[in-house]
Amino acid sequence: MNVHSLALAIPVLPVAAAALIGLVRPIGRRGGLAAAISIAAAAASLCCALALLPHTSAPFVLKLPWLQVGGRTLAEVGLSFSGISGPMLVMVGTVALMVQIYSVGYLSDEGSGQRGRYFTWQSLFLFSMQGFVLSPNLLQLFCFYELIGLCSFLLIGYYYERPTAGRAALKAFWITKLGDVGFLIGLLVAWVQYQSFDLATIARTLERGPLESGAWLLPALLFCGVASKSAQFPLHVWLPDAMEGPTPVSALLHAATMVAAGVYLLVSTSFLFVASPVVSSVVLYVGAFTAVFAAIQGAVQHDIKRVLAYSTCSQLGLMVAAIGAGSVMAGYFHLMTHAFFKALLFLAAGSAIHAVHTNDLRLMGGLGRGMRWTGIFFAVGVLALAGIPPLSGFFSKELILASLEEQPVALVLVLATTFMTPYYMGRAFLLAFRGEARSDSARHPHESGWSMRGPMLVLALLAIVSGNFLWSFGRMIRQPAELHFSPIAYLGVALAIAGLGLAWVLHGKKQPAIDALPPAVLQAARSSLVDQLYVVGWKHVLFVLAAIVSFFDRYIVDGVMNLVAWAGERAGSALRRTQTGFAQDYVLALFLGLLALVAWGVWGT
Amino acid sequence: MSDVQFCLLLAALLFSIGVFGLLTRRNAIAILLSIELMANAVNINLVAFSRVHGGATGQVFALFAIALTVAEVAVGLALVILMARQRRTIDVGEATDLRG
Repeated sequence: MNVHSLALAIPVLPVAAAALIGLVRPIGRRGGLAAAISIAAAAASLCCALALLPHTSAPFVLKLPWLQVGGRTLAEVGLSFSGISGPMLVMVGTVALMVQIYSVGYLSDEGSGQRGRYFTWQSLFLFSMQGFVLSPNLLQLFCFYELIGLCSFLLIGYYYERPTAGRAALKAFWITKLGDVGFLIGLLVAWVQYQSFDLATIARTLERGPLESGAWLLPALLFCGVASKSAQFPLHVWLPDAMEGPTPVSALLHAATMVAAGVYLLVSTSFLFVASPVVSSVVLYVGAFTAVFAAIQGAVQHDIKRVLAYSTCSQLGLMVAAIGAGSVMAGYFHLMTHAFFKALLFLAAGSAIHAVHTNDLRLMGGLGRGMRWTGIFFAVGVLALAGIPPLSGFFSKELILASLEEQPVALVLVLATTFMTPYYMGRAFLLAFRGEARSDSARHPHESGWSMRGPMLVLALLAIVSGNFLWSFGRMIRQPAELHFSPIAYLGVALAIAGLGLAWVLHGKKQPAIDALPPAVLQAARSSLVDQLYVVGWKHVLFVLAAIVSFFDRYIVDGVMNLVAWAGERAGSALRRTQTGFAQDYVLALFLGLLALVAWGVWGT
Repeated sequence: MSDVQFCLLLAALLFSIGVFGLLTRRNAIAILLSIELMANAVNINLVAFSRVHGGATGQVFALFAIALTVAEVAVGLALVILMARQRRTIDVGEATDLRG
């Protein structure tokens, strides 16, 4: 197979699987068969991505014209393979395959038809994500961005009989849409400013010289879309609620790949951000603030998945901050390593939840004794996320810290995050896997089967070694890749060890304290202030705006219509008096008319 | 005054009597009669001009018009009978259902 058909196969195989499972009912009803088809498609898609990886030095674009208006092609649909998309394809393919294999074990209690539905959405999601990564222009990126949002909605609402799941799915959908409106307006701006949606064309236009004015507009609008998808403050509120979905979904979408779509959008449009220093610094500070804000929230949660969700939010903040500081390399590489260890953490947490049947850390404890493998996997994830060398997190965190050396404020925020991350992850690990069991179900947990342990093992190995891919990764995206081992890097490692130590001191006992922070901090961090701000915004801003629009619609727009109708009715009732219904009156009118015509004919002309 | 002018004057007079009857009489049959007067005024005109131009066209036309008028009267009388059956009157002043 040549490289073109390999690239085409990457998104086409999963969508074919989704169509097969979703549309052919006998297959959709058999959960096992659906899973087999979905996994086979994901595996084949991953093989294609791996086979393409050596070809990143020869990027290519396949295009078909789309939206032809008056002989002019407004947009193209196609595939663009380059050093930027290559590693992402492999990462998404790997995590998706692992999650799908894991799901077979995780969802074994579910009904057959339910699993058919689940694997349809999983395959559709893989298609959307790979299509997104391969998109050559903004319009296609937007289409796949929305498809990803749709798949996220469907999978969060997988347990649709639970009202909380339905609400969480809707919330995720609306909040991401809120940001995507920015992306949509950005498309218009791109057309007005550059007369093209094509990323390569826009980049060439920018190379020839900066725009006279308004260069900040497009990146700012794109960042709205990024912030909603990648859960940046203040659009992060959907991510913790999205944990209502099945845990493998959280691992795939809300830790490793979907939320990474926003960061990937930043990476692939980074040339726009370079052209606008103001927007770049907004990106930097939003990212750094999100990192530390979400880390504080993560430290006070009782739900193990919400701890991981806030951790994801915080790590995405780090990536966004690094790209805002101008280091695409650091942000992108952290996206890669983070995907592996965060998916691992979620799958390990899912394994624990599967055994204990609760997400609540207060009802866990001591799981490490019965679930040795899961405990080890979770610990590997914690150490990688903490950035302890030589695990993968160390490499990418080092790059991020190095990229922020000239930004003191952001650096302080990020250093605070590197201290808090190991603390709350250590807390979650100690509360779940160490100490004494705090509930009956936690006393005799059963280790998960190999269909769940296998994927975790692969991800654990990747979480350990993927940092070593740094140099080949740097060659692929054509950025200098080097570790500086500057004082800040040592400081980062020291803070990480201190954070883990703090977690051990506060939560390492046999009967550990669940919450060790001062009550005022706990209350402030749990108060869901941002959610309340949204409610206030709706009540006092959106409703007022809606009332004004409603007044205009009812009394101005409808008013003109009503006036026309009223005038017509009045004129009608005035004129009806001429209709006597008396036949001879009509005849008289006829003759008078005839006379008038004759008179006009004789004297008029 | 030539013969033709006399004929035209007679036709105009008949037509005017017809219009007057049409506008003033309330009896439906009287109205039909008035319409007949107006139609025959036209026929007189046709015959008169036929004589002036020296051809048979006008007379043939008048014959056709008479035949058609008979048909029209048949329809008109049928309407009057229907009206009499339904309303027990043939006074057109009573039939003002179309009043606005």
